[in-house]
Amino acid sequence: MFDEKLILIGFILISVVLVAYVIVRPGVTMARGGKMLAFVALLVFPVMAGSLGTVEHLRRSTSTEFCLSCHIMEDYGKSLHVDDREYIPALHYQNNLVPRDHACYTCHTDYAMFGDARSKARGLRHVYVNYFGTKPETIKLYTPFSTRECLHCHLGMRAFEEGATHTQDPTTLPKIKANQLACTSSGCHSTIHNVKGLKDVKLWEAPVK
Amino acid sequence: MNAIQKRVRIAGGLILIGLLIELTSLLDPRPTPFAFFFFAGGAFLMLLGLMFYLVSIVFPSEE
Repeated sequence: MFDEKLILIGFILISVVLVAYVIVRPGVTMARGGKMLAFVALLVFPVMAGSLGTVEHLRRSTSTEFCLSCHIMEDYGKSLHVDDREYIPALHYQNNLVPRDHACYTCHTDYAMFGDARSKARGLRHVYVNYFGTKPETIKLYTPFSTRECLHCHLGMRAFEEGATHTQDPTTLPKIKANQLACTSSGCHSTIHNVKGLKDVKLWEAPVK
Repeated sequence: MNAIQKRVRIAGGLILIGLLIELTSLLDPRPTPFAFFFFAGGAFLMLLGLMFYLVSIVFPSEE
């Protein structure tokens, strides 16, 4: 099928041609047909092109490539390739438990009512700090990682619901589901990106397709 | 060229520059073009051009 980006580029090019025509021949706006043309060229097409462009940019800002293109994030990208199942992000990334091309955004968005909007606002702040602010030595999450983000996928999953460690104590699962027992900070799945230890670990190389 | 034509030309010029910035920003999926579109003029110029055009048709000059 058609590539969305190509459609958008086509749309912008048509807008450019129409606007350029109105600029070169502003006299056409004196006639009724010319007024309609100017309305389409200067209002309808630019609004559509601008809106579609905004949607495309916001969609692309959720890609792994986008997140890892800032220098400060390089080690976090490398941590996705650690050849060790204890590294939770690496385990998810390498086994396609999260889509590889949207790996960061899949776990680091809030799966709540305004989650997407809040993540976008934080993302815009990151872009601002990257260019104009002071980059922190250590990156920290704004709020502790919520179990809700894990449960978005794991809730109802057989390996999660029937796993021996989760069912050994009958209170474990209810506590996890009530967000009283955190997956990542309870000592069970506590090796996350661990970027400071990256120089001592073996990295996995994804096979070339 | 009368006043309305001049305003249409200015509005068109602003929108055209905004569209060209948007077009170039789509070529690279990294934060730089993203910032260029949102913070360094692309969206702003288009909005400004649209406002200019709308003002020119809502309040036409008496010249």
